[in-house]
Amino acid sequence: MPKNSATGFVSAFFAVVIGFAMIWHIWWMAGVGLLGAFVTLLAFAFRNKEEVEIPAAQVAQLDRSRTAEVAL
Amino acid sequence: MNVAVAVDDVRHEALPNASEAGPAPKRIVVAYGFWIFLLSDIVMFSALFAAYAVLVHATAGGPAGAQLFNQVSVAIETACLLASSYTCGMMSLAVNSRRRVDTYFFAMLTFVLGAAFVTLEVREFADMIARGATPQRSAFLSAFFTLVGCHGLHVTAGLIWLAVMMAQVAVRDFRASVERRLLCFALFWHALDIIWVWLFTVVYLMEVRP
Repeated sequence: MPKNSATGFVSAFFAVVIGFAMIWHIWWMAGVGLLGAFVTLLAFAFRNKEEVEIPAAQVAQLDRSRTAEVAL
Repeated sequence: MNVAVAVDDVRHEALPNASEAGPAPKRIVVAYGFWIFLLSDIVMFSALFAAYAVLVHATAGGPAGAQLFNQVSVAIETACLLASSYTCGMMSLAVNSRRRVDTYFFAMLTFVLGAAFVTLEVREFADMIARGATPQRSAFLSAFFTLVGCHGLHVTAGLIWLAVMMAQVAVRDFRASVERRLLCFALFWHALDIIWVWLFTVVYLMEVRP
């Protein structure tokens, strides 16, 4: 499975910064936002581990506990 | 091109029936998703092309394309971009055969040719603006700067992407994710080249038609 990542949240933050700055013509802030978004992208692209594997035993255990809940 | 190579690698006799085969290989899924992005990009460019075609004669008494465009500079730009597409293809072959030095070499050639294209384009824009042909001057110039500028921004983004990919090859080697990104980069670069061929025809060649 794809590993969890905060990239979506962080890039949304920088998108807000860029959007605000562009609307009010605050060019330095737009630059900061773009730089932040680019660094976020780099951090995401260079992460070492991209996927997590859920062992079959854990899946079976989760499924058993869920089935038990449904049965209740 | 690369997708065809990947398909050749699949052993045909071993393919199970589609419902039992499980998910498609990630390389195929990624390339498919990237094609959807490219198609949406092409949809955007077709809107810009349509706007340009409608507004090309709306010069509002200002300069028309024939007086502004420098055919020699545009010919050199086109040559740079087409050559960079060729070196990008060579880079894909080097990646497929895991040749690191060749990959760097052809990536560098691609980068230099792409950067030459962007430099010439920026110089052309600066020259036009210096002669008073700014985007505010007429609807024709607004459409021109939007269409050609959008393509130029795409090429600039592609150059940044290429530089990042070379850093990834250096740090992470040819791992599967890096290879997939290089495949997407090649698709992107060739798509930009195709768009430039349309752009060159519609904007620069049709303008000097008698």
